[in-house]
Amino acid sequence: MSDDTILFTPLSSSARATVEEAEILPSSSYWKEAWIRLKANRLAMFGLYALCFLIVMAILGPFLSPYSYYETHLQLKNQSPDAQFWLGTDELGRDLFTRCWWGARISLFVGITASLVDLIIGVLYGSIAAFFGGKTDEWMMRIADVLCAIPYLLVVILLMVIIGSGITSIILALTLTGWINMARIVRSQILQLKQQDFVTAAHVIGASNRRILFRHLIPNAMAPIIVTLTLTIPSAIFAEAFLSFLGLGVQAPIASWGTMANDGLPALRYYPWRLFFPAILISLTMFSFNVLGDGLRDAFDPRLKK
Amino acid sequence: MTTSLLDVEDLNVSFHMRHRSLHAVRGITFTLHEGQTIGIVGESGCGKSAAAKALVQLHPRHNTTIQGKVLYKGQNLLELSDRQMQRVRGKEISMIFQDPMSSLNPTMKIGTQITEGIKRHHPELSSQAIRQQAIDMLSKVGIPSPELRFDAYPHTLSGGMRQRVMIALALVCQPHLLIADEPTTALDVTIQAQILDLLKKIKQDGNMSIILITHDLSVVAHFCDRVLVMYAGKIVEDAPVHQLFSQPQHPYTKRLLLAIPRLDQAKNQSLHPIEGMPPNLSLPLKGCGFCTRCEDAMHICAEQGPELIHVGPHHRAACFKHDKRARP
Amino acid sequence: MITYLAKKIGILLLSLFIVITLTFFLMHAIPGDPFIQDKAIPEEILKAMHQHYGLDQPLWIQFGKYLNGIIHFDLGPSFKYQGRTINEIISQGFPVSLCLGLEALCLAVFGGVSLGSIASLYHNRWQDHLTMVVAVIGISVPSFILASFLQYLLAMKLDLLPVARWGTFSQSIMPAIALAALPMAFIARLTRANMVEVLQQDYIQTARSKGLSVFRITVRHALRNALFPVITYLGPLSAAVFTGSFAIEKIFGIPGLGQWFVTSITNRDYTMIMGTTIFYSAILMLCIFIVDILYCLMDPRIKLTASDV
Repeated sequence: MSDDTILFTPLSSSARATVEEAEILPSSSYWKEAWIRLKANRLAMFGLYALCFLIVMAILGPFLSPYSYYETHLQLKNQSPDAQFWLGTDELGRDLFTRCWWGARISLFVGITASLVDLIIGVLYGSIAAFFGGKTDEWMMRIADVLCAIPYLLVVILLMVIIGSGITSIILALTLTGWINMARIVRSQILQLKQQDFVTAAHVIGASNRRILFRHLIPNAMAPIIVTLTLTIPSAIFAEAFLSFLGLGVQAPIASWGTMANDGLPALRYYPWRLFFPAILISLTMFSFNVLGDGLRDAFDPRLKK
Repeated sequence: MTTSLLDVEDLNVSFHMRHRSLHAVRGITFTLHEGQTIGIVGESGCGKSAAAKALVQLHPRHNTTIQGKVLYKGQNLLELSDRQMQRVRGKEISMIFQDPMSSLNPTMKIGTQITEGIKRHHPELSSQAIRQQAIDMLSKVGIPSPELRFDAYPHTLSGGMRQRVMIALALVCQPHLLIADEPTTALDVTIQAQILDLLKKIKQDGNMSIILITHDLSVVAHFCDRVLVMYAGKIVEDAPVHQLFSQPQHPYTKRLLLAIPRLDQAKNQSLHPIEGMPPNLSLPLKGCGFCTRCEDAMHICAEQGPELIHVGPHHRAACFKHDKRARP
Repeated sequence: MITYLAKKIGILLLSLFIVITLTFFLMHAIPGDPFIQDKAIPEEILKAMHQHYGLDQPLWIQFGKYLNGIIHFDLGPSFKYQGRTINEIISQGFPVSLCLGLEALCLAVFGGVSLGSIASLYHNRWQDHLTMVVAVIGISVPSFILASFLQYLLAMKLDLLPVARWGTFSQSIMPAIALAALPMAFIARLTRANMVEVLQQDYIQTARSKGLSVFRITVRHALRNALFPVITYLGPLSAAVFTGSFAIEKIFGIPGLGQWFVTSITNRDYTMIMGTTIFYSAILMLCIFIVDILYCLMDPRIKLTASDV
C-alpha cells in the first residue's frame, strides 16, 4: 500500500528531464562518415586492396624477376608457367611475368594519366559553363553536345592511324573527347551548388569570381568528381587495350596488356596462358576500379543506395 | 447494436533495418462496427499510418514483423498469404492515400487504373461492362465529362480531381471498409471540404465503414463517429467524437486540443505547444511514452506503461490518473 | 515535340559534318602517297592514277567533291581494291554486322531488363547482390577477352560450338554473347536502379492496395516507368555494339564490316577507313535519333506538353 502511494505521487520536472534519453550522436565530418561507409562495403574494399596490390606489383614486379621485358630466349619460346619463368614465355621466349608487370605500368599509366587530363579539362570546362551560366553555358554545352555525338572510339582510332603509335599518342587521342562526361557532371553539380546560400554570402562579402569558383564551388563538388574519375579510369584502360588489340597501341618490344593479348590471340589454342594472364589482369584492374567507384558513389551519397 | 466488422487485437508492427529495429506500433486494440467511421489522430511518427497499412499487409514482408490479430469478419487477416490478401485488397478493404499527385501512375490512363481493379476482382465481366462501371464511378465521385476523362492522364487533372479519381478506384468494387490515410492533407482547404463531403455521401449511400487517419482534429470533428488518439505507437484515448472534444481524459489529448489556435484568442496571447519530443521508437520504452512531457506525471508513469481503461461509457483512456489507486 | 526533334537533327548533322571534315583532312594529312606501297611505280603511271582519282586538284575542291559524293550516298572508289567502290564493299559486309549486332542487342535488352528487374524485386538481399556482382564483372571484362575465353572454352576445349566463321546459328552464339555482355550488364544495372526507385513510389502502393498481382504491378506499373531512361541508353548502346564488333569479328573471323574496318586500318587503306568511319557515324546518329523519337512518342507527359504549347 505504501509503495503505491509513493508511486502515485507526482514526478517533479527535473526528475522528468533525467528520464528523457539523451541521444546525442557524435558528429563527424562528411569525409570521415563517407570513409566509414566505404569501409563497410566489402566489395569496394576488395577493389581497393586489389588496386593497391596491382600498383605495388606494377612498380616492383619487373625487379622481382631476373629477366627484362625485352630479353629473348628463342630456344625457350612458348613455355608454360614453370619454376624458371613464373608465368611462361611468349613466342620470342620473353618472360611473361616481367612483361605482365611492365604492361601494368603502361596500362595503368595511360589509364590514369588520360583520366587525369580528362579531369582537368572537364572540371575547368564544366565549372566555367556552370558558373557563368546564361549564354556562355548554352554555347559551351552546345559545343559539347555536338562533340558528344561523334563516335568516340572511331575518332580515337582515326587519330591513332594518323599520329602513329606510342604512349603520348594514345593519351592524346583518348583525351580529345573523353572529357565531356566529366564536364557534364561537374556542370550539373555546380549548377546545384550555385543556388545555395553560402555562395550568395560569398558574393555579398565581395569575393572575386575566381575565388568563389576555386575555393567554394569546386571543393564542394569534389565527391562526384572523385567518383567520375574512378569510373573513367577503367574506360581509358579499356580503350588502350582495345587499341592495342587492333594493332594501334604501343610498339614492340614495349608491352601493354592490350598488345600482349593481341599477340596471344593467334596462339590461343595451344598456348592459352599467353592471352589469359594479361586478360585476367585487365579484367581485374577494371573490376577493381569499377567496384571502388561504385562504392565511393554510395559512400558519398547514401540516399541513392536505399 | 451493429455487428463488428473489424477486431484488432494487440497489433504490433516492427520495421527492421540494417542496424536497428523500429517498433512503430506497440500493441493497439480496437473494434470497428459496420457503418461506423473511426478517426485515428496523432502526430507524425506516432504509428497511425504504419498500423493502417498493417491491416492490409501493405508493408514489405521481408523486413516487417507484424504480431497480433486483425479479425475481419471473423477471419484473421494476418494469417493470410500474400496471394490470399490480394483477394481482400480492393474488394473487401480498400485504401486511399495522402498525395494524389504521386499516388497515381503518371504513364497510365485514369480509366485503365480504375478498370484494372475491376478486372482483377470481377474477371467474368465484359470489357464493355467494366468500362461502363468505371465511367459510372467517375461520375459518382463528381468528375465532369467522365467519358472524356477516362482516357486522360493524371497530370492533366487538378489535385482535388486526382483525389476523386483515387476514391473512385478504391471504391469501384464496393468494399466494406475504406482506410483513408490522410486523404486531405495535401489539398487546399476548400478542396478538403469537398472531398470530405464526397466521402460522407458515399458512406451514407453504401453503409461503408471508414477508418480515417489524420493529424488534423478539425477533420475528425466533422467526419467521425469515434476517435482513437495515438501516441508513440499506442492508443492513449478512445472515445465518441463529441466526448473527446468536450471531456478529454488523457493529458496528451488535452494538450492537443489546447494547442489548436482559436479565432477568439486574444492577439497577444501566446500559443501552447507541447514541449519536448516524442520518444525514440527504435529503443525499448519503459513507462508511459508521454511521461517526460506530462505535467501530471507520477512516479509510476516512468516505471510502467498504462493500460487502456474505461473512464466512461464507450470511453477509454490509458492514463494512471484514472487508476483507482491514484485517487486519494 | 517537332522543335525538339528538329534541334536534335541539327546537332546530329553538324556532328556528322565535323566527322566527315575531320576524317577527310586527317586522311589527307598523312604523309606519303596512297599508291606507293612496296613496289615502285613509274612516275607517269603514278601521275595518271592521281589524275584519274582527282588527287592532283586542290584540297578544297577534293573536299567539295567528296561532300557532293556523300550527299548522293557515294563514298568513292577504293584505292586498294581496284575497280571496286567503297559502297560495294560496305554493302557486302554491313548485313553481316547488322545481323550480329541485332542478335546481341536483343540478348542485351531482354537479358539485362530481366536480370535488373529480378534484382530490384529482391532489393538488398543475396539475389540482388549476386546479380550486381555479375553485372560489374560484365562491364569489367572487355568484350574481346570474353570472346577469346568463350572461344577457348566452348569451342576449342569442350567442342560444343564451332570455333569461327559465320553462316549458321550456332556460329553466331558465341560472338553474340561476347558482344552482348557489356550492354547487358549496363542495362541490368540501370534497370535495377530505376526499378528500385520506381518501386518506392506511391503509385506502386496504390496498385498493391487494389489487390493486383505482383506480376502485373511489376510489369505494367513498375517496368513501364522504369524503362524510360533505359531507352535513352539504347543510342550509346548501339555505339558499344558497333565498336565491339571490330574486335569480335576479328576473333571469330566473321566477314562483317568491322572486319573490313580493322583490315583497312592495318593496311592503311585510307578511302576504306574514311568511308567506313563516315558510314558508321551516320548509322550511329540514326540510331540516336530513332531512340529520341521513340522516347518522345512513348512518354505521355512529353507528348501532351508539346501539344499544349
